[in-house]
Amino acid sequence: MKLTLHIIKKDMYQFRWSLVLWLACFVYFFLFQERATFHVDTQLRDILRLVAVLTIAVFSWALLVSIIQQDHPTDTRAFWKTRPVSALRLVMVKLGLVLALFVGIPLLIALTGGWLQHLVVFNTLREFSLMVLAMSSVTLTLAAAASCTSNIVYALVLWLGVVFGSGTVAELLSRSLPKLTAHLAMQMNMNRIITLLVFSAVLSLAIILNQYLRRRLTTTILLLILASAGCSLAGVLWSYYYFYHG
Amino acid sequence: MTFPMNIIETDRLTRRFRATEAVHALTLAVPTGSVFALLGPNGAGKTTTLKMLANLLLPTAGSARVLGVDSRKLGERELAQLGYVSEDQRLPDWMTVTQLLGYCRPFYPTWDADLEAKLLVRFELPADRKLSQLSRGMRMKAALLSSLAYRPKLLVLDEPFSGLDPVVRDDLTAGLLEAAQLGETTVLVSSHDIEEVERLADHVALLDGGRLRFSETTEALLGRFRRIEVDYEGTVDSSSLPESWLGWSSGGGRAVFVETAFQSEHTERACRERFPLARVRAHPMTLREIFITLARAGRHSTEEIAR
Repeated sequence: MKLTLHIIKKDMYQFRWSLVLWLACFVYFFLFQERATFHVDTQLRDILRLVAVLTIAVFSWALLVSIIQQDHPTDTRAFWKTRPVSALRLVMVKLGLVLALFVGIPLLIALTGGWLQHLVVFNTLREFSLMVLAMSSVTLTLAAAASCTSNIVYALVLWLGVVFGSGTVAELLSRSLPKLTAHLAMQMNMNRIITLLVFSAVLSLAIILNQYLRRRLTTTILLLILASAGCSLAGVLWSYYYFYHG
Repeated sequence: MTFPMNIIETDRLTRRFRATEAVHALTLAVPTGSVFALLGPNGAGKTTTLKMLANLLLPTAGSARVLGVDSRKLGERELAQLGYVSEDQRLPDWMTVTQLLGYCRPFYPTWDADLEAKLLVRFELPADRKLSQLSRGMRMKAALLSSLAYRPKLLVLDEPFSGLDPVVRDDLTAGLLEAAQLGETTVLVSSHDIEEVERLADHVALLDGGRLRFSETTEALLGRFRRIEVDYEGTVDSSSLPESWLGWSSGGGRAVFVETAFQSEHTERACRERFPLARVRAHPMTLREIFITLARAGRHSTEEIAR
């Protein structure tokens, strides 16, 4: 445990300024989103909000990829590889850190926002759960892309490639789908989103564990293909299910 | 913990990169307490071998035992007794030398703060400077310091002298010799810098094209190689020379060759059979001369070169 904390401390220290800026962006966004008491016109506020969202997204992306790639799981030149740090310990550190930063902190901010707006958290549990699932899925897929590539640009290309690739395939396949009623389509969309998020998260976790613990390139490639194909199919098969059983 | 006679043992260790076989069925033993040099030209498979031993690369076939365990199962306990310094290692450049040592220290129960302080002075490292601001030689020293301060049982060095100036080489060699002379550390060093290796190593192995050409003590190797000069009269028949004679050249009443299985009486007798009235002189060879002779005779099979 002491060594685990030692590695976390090292990462936090290394990225201390980026983390401070990233948190500042979050707080700024939170102030605009939840407590917009500034006397600015709506158009300017929307622009500022958009800038804040984009800054947070880009910053989060760069920070997440850097945290993973700083101690790259498969690079034989990586410093940690010849130090007494087991791959299991490192993957726990990295996953714990990115999930705490990119799921824990947004959740905390959202809960604080809810509390300030006098929302009863229990009543909005479903929304919060969905938010945690979405954030976890995005974080894990980004972490998986980072663990498979050697720099930020490649990681972005891989992530976007898989997301848009499977999305395009799903879109093409959905042209021949049976027509659903509006009510059924709404029901299906929620289940479809949850399925896609869970499936992506599980596959990403498998890729990350393989990259750290087994280091089999073939397995990683197969899992990436499975993730893309699985997401495309999961997006399509729900329509058939609802058409015949809905 | 005590280790067996050999701190490293490989059994038909093989690594392929697609169609290329970087290391072919390598069977090697590194005795505990030795300074073992793995020599070979560029692309001989030295780095790949060391990476497999440190579990940085998985073997395609065969196996290796390092510090008494399968190299693929090296855990935190074994890695705490293993030092690895490579020319292409990615150090955390954002750290200062002090931060690097501070980061490494908690991982090693055997970390010796006095030795760390002593090596810091010996290597003349600027403690508060970032690694990214250090020269190549200084970075190598910092890496070596972070791998020596816990008195590892096994120190693996991949081309540590490559591209360094003579002063830095001397500092590194002195540091390594000091560690080795304490008898606690086995050093496995890969290099094509033969002069430095000659100062350090008591065991030598030669890899060429991923294959092991020989592995023996430096003393035995230097003992069995001699450059022979023969001053003769008349002509000589060079069609049936012994297989242990390499690099034969003759002309103007003098023949020169390298005897790879030198034994004073035996070699002299073999020469006398061919040149009854000749004057035969045997000159000791340096490791560098032996290496060059073997490289030139690369077309000879392993059996021809080996004892």
